[in-house]
Amino acid sequence: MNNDERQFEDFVSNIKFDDTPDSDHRNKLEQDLLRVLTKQPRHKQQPLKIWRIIMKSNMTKLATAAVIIVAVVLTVTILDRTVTPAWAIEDTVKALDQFNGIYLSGVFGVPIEKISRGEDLVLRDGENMSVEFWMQANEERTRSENYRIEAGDGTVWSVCNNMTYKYDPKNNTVRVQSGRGIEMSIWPCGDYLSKVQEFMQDWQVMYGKDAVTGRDCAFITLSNPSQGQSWWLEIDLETNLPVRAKGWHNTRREGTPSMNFQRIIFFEKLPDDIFEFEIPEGATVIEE
Amino acid sequence: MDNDSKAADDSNLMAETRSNPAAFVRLYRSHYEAVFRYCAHRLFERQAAEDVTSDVFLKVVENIHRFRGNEQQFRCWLYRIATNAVNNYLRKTARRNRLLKVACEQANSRGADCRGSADKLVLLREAVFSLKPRYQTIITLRFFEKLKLTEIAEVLASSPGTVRSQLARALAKLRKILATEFTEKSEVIENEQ
Repeated sequence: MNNDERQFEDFVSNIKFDDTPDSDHRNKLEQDLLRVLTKQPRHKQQPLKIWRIIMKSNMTKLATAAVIIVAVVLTVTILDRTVTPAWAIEDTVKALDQFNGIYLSGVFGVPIEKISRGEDLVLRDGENMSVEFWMQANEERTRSENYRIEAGDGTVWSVCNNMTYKYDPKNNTVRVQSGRGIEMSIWPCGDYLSKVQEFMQDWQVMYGKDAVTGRDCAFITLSNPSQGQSWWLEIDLETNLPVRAKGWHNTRREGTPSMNFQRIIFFEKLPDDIFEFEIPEGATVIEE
Repeated sequence: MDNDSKAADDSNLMAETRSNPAAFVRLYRSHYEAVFRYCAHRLFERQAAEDVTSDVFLKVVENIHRFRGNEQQFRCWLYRIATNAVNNYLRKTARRNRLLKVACEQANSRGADCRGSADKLVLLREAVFSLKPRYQTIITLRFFEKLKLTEIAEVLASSPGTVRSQLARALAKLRKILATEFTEKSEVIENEQ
């Protein structure tokens, strides 16, 4: 704990504030909740839909790189009906259809600017950069509505309320344009998975424990020879959701991964304020 | 009980909660207080905190069938729902202004013996409300709910590193606003050394 934290903690510890819950409220709410719970209809699964893949801009490639990882995992999950009985395919599909927000964090093996200019992903030693993605689906779950990328060099892209902001930390500028400059033009669920299935090959499944949490997991390897890519994926067997993924730009998973996502988390809804963009102090705003 | 058994028990409890009202009630009772306190610390007003707490648990009832995970993950899920609910509540400027007004009235109605604490509470409310909602959330989860950075990161769908830097930025803003309080404390710390 640093000095600011210590001082603030001391400050709040000296403040008296009545935060004791009221048992009447708690009991009344409990009764209300029970009434709702017992009257609640069984949840119906949403029908599957078909989406088209539309690459709207070069920057979309970056977004797609993230979604491909997720989609690959989902596809493999559906394809593999031979694995442990603990892995219920139907539950996986059902669970995945409930999520409208995705968070990924990891490392890209190429400078993020190169990807945004549409250059091919090529692994170059020493050019790693940490990247975090947040994506929220639109109401129809056909594409992303809000999107945010934060790169390790301080670059930020944010799409919120149909406006796109890009912060360049080197020049301290914020470029603002209307519309969604970055988007996941497909949402990774439903019949989209069958499209991904077409280009995936050589997949194998092994079982083990997550190296960090010790939870039971399935480890999947597969490749896409037509695009010279290969993947390693980890699925948590309790939630049936992907938790980690790596991608290489060769079909043998050789060398340092060009993408290494160590956290993949699905959300029903991401907090709205994640996507709100705050103009940094002193930054020049350029309207485009 | 080892970690694997605990995790299995947690998962069983969560699964049972989706179909058994009695199990849900047990879960509700064990988390009600934490949710209420979090709302109270974000809103600084009991009535508002009770209203938002009700909204949070109604949301939980509506969506519990979708939840997959253990009780620790359920706790983070609850805080996430509560954060969205509080932010929605505060987004209404009128409500926010009303909360500030109530804060001032409460401070003025206190006796002289606790005037110092009440004044500080008003200062704290004004300072925290001046932050953007994300920073308010981080400050509350860290200093009132005593969550670890990793837990806050899970609630906010972020990484601990990002939360750490946002916490530092939030504290820097609070330091500016609460300059006198921080300075006084700094002097005490320096004198103690």
